[in-house]
Amino acid sequence: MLAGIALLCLSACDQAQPVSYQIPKEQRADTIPTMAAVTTPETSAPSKMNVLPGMQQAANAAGEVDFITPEGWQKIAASGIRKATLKVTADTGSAEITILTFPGDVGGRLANINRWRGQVGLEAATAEDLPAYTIDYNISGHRGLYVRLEGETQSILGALLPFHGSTWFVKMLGDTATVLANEASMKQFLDSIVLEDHAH
Amino acid sequence: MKALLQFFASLRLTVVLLALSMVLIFFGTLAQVETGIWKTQKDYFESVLAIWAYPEAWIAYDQLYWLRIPMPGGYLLGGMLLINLLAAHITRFKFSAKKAGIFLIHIGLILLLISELLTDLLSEESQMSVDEGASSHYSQEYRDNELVLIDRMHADFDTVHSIPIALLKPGKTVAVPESPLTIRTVSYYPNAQIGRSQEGAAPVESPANQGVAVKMNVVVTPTAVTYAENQINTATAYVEVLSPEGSLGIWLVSNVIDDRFPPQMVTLGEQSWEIVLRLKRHYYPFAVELVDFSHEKYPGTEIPFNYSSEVMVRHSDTTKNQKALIYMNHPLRYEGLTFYQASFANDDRTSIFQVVRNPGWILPYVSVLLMGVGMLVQFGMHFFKFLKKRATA
Amino acid sequence: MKKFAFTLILIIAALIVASGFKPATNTSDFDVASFSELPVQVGGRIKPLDSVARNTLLVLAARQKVVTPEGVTLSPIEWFMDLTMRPEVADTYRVFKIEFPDDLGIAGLAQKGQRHYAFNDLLPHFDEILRLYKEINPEPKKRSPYEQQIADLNDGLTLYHRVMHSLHPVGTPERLDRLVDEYQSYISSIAPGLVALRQQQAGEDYDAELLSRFIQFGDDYLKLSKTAYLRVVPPIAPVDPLDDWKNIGLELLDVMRGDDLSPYVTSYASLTMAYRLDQADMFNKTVEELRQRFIGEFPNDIDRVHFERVFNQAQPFYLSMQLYLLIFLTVCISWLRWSAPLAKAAFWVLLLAFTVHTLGLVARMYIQERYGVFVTNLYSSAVFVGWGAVLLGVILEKFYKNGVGAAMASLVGFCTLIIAHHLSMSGDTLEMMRAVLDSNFWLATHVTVITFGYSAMFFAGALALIFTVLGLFSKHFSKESAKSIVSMVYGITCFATLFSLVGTILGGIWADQSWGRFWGWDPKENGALMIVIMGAIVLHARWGGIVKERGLMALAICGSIVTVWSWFGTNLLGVGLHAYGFTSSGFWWTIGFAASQIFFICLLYLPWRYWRSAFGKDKNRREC
Repeated sequence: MLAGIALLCLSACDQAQPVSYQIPKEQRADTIPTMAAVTTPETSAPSKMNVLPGMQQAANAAGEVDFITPEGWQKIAASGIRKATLKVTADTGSAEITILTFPGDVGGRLANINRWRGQVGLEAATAEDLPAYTIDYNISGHRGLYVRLEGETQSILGALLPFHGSTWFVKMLGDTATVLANEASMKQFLDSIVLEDHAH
Repeated sequence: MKALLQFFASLRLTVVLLALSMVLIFFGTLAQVETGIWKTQKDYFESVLAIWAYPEAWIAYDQLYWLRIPMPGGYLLGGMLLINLLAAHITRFKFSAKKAGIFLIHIGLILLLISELLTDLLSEESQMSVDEGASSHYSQEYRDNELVLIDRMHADFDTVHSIPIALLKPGKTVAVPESPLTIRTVSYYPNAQIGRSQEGAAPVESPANQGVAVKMNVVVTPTAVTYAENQINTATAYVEVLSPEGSLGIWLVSNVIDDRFPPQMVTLGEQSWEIVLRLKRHYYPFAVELVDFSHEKYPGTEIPFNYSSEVMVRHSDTTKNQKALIYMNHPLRYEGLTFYQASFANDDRTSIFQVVRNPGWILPYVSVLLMGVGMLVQFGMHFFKFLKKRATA
Repeated sequence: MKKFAFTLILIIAALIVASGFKPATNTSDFDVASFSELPVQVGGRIKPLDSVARNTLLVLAARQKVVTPEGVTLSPIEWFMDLTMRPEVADTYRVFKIEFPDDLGIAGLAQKGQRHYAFNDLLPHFDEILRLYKEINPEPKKRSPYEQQIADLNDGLTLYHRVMHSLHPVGTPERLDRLVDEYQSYISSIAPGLVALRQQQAGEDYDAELLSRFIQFGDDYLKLSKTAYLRVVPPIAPVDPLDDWKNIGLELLDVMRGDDLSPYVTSYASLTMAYRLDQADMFNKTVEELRQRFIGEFPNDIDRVHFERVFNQAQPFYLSMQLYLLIFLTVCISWLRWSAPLAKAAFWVLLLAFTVHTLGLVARMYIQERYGVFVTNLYSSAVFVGWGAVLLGVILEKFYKNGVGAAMASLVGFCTLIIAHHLSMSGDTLEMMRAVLDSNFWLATHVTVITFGYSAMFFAGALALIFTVLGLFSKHFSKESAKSIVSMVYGITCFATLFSLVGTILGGIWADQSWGRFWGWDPKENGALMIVIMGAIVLHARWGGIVKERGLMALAICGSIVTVWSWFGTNLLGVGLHAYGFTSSGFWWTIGFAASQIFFICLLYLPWRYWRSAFGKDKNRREC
């Protein structure tokens, strides 16, 4: 029996080896890995995502954003790396509107739009296709890009704004009917955005 | 020889070992305040020797900072207790009906100690996070990281080449299996602050010439490892990727650089791999789909009284598909794994499961059964004897 | 004389019990009793206003009575009525307990010799209190006593404010006098208000004054919906017990959607107005109306709500506490004189106290609708530890008939009930349980068994204490008496070890079912394991002849120390937070208890020549 235990010990130590394996095709998703709650009785379960340290610092370094909440939209508290979160619900479904910012260009215009396309079930596009669903759009006095992606069940209306070395993302993602019905409100929302601007 | 056996079988030894166990557990519990449950378990209970240090938070720290109390660790005490019990049975206990109860209790105890040892060695815990309406076919470790190179060239599947973080020692090289690449670790930090370069901080000079570090001007400030329950250590490394033709570049990888950043690609001719450092993943031949997550609270409060997840497990072998409801105190046992409802996130739209693989999970139950029967027999006999004595008195 | 002693003790006991059931004196014409039974939903369960009043007062003032500036003593519900319906008067009552007012560092706040302060006393210092509150450590386990005082004061003020505005909107006395009118004018302003709002948004002409009044109502009630603490408005029948009730603000806001204003809101408004105008008839009539409506809509719950109020008033654990004290004194006297009748009286009163104690626990089960679950939180664990010890004491007394069992049982019962009383200061002791703990089966089995193990360990320790005291100081303590205590301690320790082992194992199984790990080396688990090991040490040491009487007693007393560590010590630790709970008041009591037990062990090991008892002298002779 002791020999058996000794063998087990050895086998357990033998874990650190490189290995290769195959997995089904994966999309690069937009979610951050979340931590489980500490399951001891004293603490209560967290219902917010935990943001990994580097992200929060980057978000905090960016400036503030001001906007006017359109009618029928509900403002939810901004948390972590999100500068703002809003929600709109209707009989046709619901949609969530978020404002985020990152340093740099986060891969470039095409990469970001394709990432959004993936989120609504559309295939990746090429640079030539872009004008079909994007248009230049002024946000906070700077030139950005308005993006309109109509998927089967979900759609995105959003905007990308390069802004003094970082990129701001405004995105409404939700059930297609609700999103498209709120397009006018989305444009109103974009128009009302004012970003903290130290450069001018 | 006989004297040795007598020594190991003595009741005095039992009492001494038990007393030392109490001391170990007491100081181990105090140590958890400083280093958290996971690390203390390794230091005190999965070791042969433990050393308790006088905590900074206590009074007279300035006078007593040097105080160290060494004590036998969990494995040593457990092992000795096992030997003591076996020796006692060999030398002293003759099997008789009267002692049957004690025999059963002791056997149950032996089995329990063994099962705990097996759990320490063999059990794997990870977490799986699934969004409502989506599915997941992997779970993720809590602390252990891996460096992966993902080959997405094939149309039907991805190939993952995984290197355990323990092999990333500065200056050492590791061959990436089934690929022409080799990884040479420039530096590795178990925990760090990642951010854009700012004055004031004293970051490490970046040797990277590819990827996020260069494009987004990201720098690394190493920090101390944290053992707090809810915090992840930001494992970070600078790695150089070598090919038969020479160096392909040096990348900064970190478990904080994830899908939110553009992929860091390593290219060699026609082939390319995405290089990522992330919490170690276990992929399974099945996917768990979260059909519905419900979170019931006590009326008028935020206090949860039940979380439950309705899941559909789809296996590549469709005969093994299964529908299940996972909720508190009611796990799903499937394919040698057990899925527990651990937590939730994203405003009730993501359910988080604790996934446990423990081949010896049934052992504690068997030992408990043995001990329970043994106790009933033993104390039952004592009690009836006591009653008979009082009746005749 | 003997008979007299016996009957006297029984009469005192009967009087104590009766005191719990006498109806509250009500000098006013207001039907306070019925008002106190009106149900509200707080913290996830439906309870009578009486419970809310008592719990709130306990949290603020650490006691269940209020003394007005005029010297009148108010019961909790009477204070509650003033707080909610005559706030301007309630603000003068001293209800905020500040243990060390000078330490707060707020100039002008502390009054000499005063530990209770009124809202008006604190009002001028609000800014300062808020500023200090923002600076304290957000982690409760790491706060210094000073920071804890600030936190308690701030939280107390918030609670006070929220409870005050639970029956009606925030406002001046004048507004409170006209509540019903206000609601009516609000309702009638909704339709034209919405019209005006639409007109304004469409850019047309609109009635600005009407709109601004409407918006003001809306804002006001929105603020109210966030402040009001009690949920007084049940959903429309048929009602699901898991439905959220609404607080006053939410209900008023919902009227905007076209719902009718719930009659509960208007009833509470007219209650307020009637109370303020001293119109007892009007008040009583409205209370009766409310009561009837509740009975109609909640036929299953109304009995439980009534029962809870009776339970609150009877305070069975307080009664038991007094009875235990009586028993302890009686047994002590019985060892000096009139031993037979007093011992008999003590035993009967012990049975009585045990019955009252049991009824209290069963009542809690009924109110929480968790049958078979004795322990749900730290408070109830304290109550149950006492109960377990008393049960063992009753059994021992039946066998040994020497008063020792009764005395020590009542000592443990008394002490644990005092501990429970202190633990009840944080609010509702019938609170809801978090999801992972919420399994009646495991609560009834694992928690009960482990807590019973605690009872037994403490009882064994108490028996060892009396052995020490009698052995050192009582001439009559003979070898036979010593032998009987030794066998008592041994038997109880067997029992304690058995229960602690079974309880710990049940805990492991529960953990395996909950998160896949039979044993997680959690501080609480470690504490329980330490108790099992301690019990094993005592038993193995005895079986091996390693200890005799003194050693056994010393080990039993160690068992008490280990149990207190497991029960309370582990709660003080903030694992992974560098928080040892040094600043918690529980810390000093735990240390004090441990020190007292160590003191007794030292007494135990005084050389035999200092032992005045027959037992001690015999030992001295043998060993010289």
